[in-house]
Amino acid sequence: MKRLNDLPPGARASVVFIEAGHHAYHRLAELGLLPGEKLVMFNNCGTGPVTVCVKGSKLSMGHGLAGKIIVREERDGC
Amino acid sequence: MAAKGKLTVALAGNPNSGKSTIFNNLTGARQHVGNYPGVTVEKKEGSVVYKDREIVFVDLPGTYSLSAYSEEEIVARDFVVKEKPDVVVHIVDASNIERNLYLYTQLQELGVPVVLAMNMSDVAARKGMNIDYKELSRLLGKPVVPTVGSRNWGTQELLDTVIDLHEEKIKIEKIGVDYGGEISAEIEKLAQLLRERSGALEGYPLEWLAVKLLENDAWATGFIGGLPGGGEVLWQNEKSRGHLKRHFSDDPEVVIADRRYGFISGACTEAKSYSVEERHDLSDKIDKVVLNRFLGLPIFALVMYAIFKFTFTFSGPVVGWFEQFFGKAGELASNAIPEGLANSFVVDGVIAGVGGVLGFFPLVLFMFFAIAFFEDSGYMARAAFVMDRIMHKFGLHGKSFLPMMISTNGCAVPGIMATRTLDNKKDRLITMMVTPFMICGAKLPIFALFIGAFFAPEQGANIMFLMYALSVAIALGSALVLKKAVFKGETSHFVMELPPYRVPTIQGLLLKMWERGWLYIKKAGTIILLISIIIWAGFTFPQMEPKEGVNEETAASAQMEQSFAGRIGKFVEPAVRPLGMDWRGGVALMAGVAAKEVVVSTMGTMYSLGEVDPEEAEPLKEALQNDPSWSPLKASAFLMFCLIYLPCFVAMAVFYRESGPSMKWTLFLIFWTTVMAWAASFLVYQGGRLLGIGG
Repeated sequence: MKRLNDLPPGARASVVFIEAGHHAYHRLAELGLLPGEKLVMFNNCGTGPVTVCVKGSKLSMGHGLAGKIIVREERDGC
Repeated sequence: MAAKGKLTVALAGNPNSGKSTIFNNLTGARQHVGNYPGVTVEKKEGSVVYKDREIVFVDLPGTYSLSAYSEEEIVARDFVVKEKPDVVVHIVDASNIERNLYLYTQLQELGVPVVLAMNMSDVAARKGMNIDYKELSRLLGKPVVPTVGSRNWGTQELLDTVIDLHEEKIKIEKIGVDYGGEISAEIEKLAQLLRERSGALEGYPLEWLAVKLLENDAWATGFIGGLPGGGEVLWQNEKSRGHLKRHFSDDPEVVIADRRYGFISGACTEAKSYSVEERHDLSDKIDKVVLNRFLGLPIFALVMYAIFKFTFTFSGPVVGWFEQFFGKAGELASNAIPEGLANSFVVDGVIAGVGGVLGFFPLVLFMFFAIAFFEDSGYMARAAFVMDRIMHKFGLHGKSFLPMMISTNGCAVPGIMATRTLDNKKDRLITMMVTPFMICGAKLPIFALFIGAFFAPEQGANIMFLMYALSVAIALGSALVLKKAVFKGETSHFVMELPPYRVPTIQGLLLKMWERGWLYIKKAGTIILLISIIIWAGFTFPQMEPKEGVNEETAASAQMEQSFAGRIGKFVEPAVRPLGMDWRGGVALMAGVAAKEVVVSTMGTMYSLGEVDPEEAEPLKEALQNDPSWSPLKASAFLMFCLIYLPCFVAMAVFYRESGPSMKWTLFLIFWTTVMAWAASFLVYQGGRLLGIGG
C-alpha cells in the first residue's frame, strides 16, 4: 500500500481508499477516481501536482490531495 | 409561416465534451449570452427554426455531475428541475464514455426526456473503439445520435431526434441505476415520506430527491429541512444513512457513486469493444514534454510571450484606427458645437471618456482570441498544472495565473471576469483581490512618463522591469497575507482534467472572442460614460472667469485649481505630503481612479499644457524635470503609489459585481489597496530621505 504521491511515473495501481473530505471525495468520484478504480501514474516530479490516467482521461491534482489517496501498486504493470 | 410550436432544449455535458461546438452548430451565430439570475454563471441561449418549429437551446454550464458542490452544478440542475426543458440533449465524449455517462445517471433521475449525442465519434473510432450506438440506445432506453462537432456531422439527425422525441414518435424507457436492494429500500422509505409532503414539492422528482438526501447533498438536506414536516424526513434520512453505513461499512455516497459507475460499466461492456489495443497517443507525447519538471515553466513562459506578442503586434494598427476615429469624432464635434460648456462636455467628457475605453477594445479582442486558442487547444489546463506548484505556495490556485496574466499589460476588467474559472469562492476572491495589482495597459503610460523624466535612459528598461517584478511580488505577497489573515482555511484541493489536445475551430474561437469582448464592452462601456461625465464635471465646475491677459493654458491650470477636484486635492494635500506630493499629485491620483491613463493627462492640464496625449508626453516630461518640487525620489514614491493604489472605477465596478455582488469586499479592496499604497510610498520617500538619497 502506498500513497498516490509516492507512486513513480508509469506505475499502475488500484485505488484502495480515499481519506479526503466530503467535497474532495465527490470531485474525485465525478472525475472517475474512486475506490476500486485502476490508474496509471503519468507524471510525478516528487513535488507539485501529479497527473494520473484514469477512466480514459488525464487528471491532474495537487500533491496534498494525491497524498490522501491510498493505492495498491500492481507489480505486473509496465 | 406559422410555427408548429416552441421547444426548449437544454444542452448538458462534461467540460471538454465539445458541448459549445455542438451548441454553435445547432444555433449558428444566433446566440445570446447573459447570466443566470443571481449568480455569475454564464447563460448562453440560441434558437433555430427547424421543420416549422422554433427550438430554443440553452447551453447549461459544463459539469461532471449534478451535486451541489459548485455554482455550475446547482445552476444546471435547477434549470432542468424548475424550467422543465422539453428535451435535454446530453453531449457525451464518445472516446470517454464511462466518465461522461456519470452525469447521465443523474440526469435521467430528474425525469426529463434525454437524447444522448455521442460526440467526437470519429476520435473514438480512431482510438480503436467500436461503439454499437443502437445497442447503447437499447441498454439505456434513450435515443443515441453519433456526432462529430468539429465537422458539423450529425447536427440534422440530432435536431430530428429532438423533435421526434418531443412529439413522442420515439419512446423512451426508464432504465435507471440499480442501487441494489438495501439502498433501494431506503430510497423508497424516504420517497414515501416525501410523497406525503408532495404539496410543497411541486415539480421535484421525489426519488431523485431521496437519492440526493442519502448522498448527504447539502442543498437537498437544507431544502427539505426548511419544509414543514421536513424534520421527520431528515430524521429518517439519518436513520437510513446510519443503516447503510453499517451495512456497507462505507459512506452511502461512496456506495451510490460506485453503483452508478457499475451501471455504466455494465452498459459499456456490451456496447463497446476495442479493435486495437489503446496505445500512447499524440496527447501523451506532447504532455511528456509540456509537463516535464524542467521544461514545463520555460514552455509556459514562451506561450505567455507568444500571447503578448500576438496581441500587441496585430492589435497595434487596429488600435491606431480606433484612436484616429475618436480623434476625428472629437474634432468634428469640437467644430460643430459652439465653444463653451456643451462643447467641453461632448469633447472632453463623453468622447474622450468612451474613446479611452473603446480605444482599448481591439487589444482586448486580440488577447481574448489568443487566450481562446490556448484554451480550446487544451494547453490552459496544462498551464494551470505547471503554475500550481508556484501559486500554491502563495495560497493561490493553479488557475489563478490566468486572471493575473490577462491583467498584465492588458486590463484588470477581463482579468477579474476570468476568475470565474475558479470554483472555490475563497480562491476566487483572493485572486480577484490581487489581480488589479498587475501593471495593466493603462498604468504603462504613467510609468513611461515618470521613468523617462527622472531616470537615465539606460536605466529605464531596468526600472521598468523592476516595476513588473514588484507588481508580481506585491500581488503574490498580498495573496499570502490575505490567505493567512482573512481567508483562513486550506486552499481548495487542486484537481482538474487535462483534456486531450485538439485543433480549435476558427468559428469556435471567433465566437468565444466576441462573447467575452461583448461582455467587456457591456460592463466597461456602460459605466465609463457615467464616470467620465462625473470626472469632467469635477474639473469643470465651479466655473471661474479667467484673469485678464493670461494665456489659455494658464487659465486652464487656474481653473483646475479652483474646481471641485482641485479643492479636494488641496484638502487631501496633508495626507499625501508625507509621500512627497503636493495637491497636484493628489488630484492626478484621484483622477486616475477614472482610468489610470488619466493620471498623465491630468498632470498635463495642471502643468498648463492643455491636452496631453499619454503616448506623446515629451513636453510634459520636460515640465516635470524643470519643476523643483519633483525629484527622482519623489517620482519613485509617486510611482509606488500608482503601482498599488485603487483599481480604476470600471475594475471596481466589475469587482463589486463579480464578488457577489458584495459591498463588503469592495470596500475591503478599497481600504486594503489605499493603505498598502500609502505605506509603500511612505517607506520609499521617508526611507530614501533618511538614507539621504534626496529630498
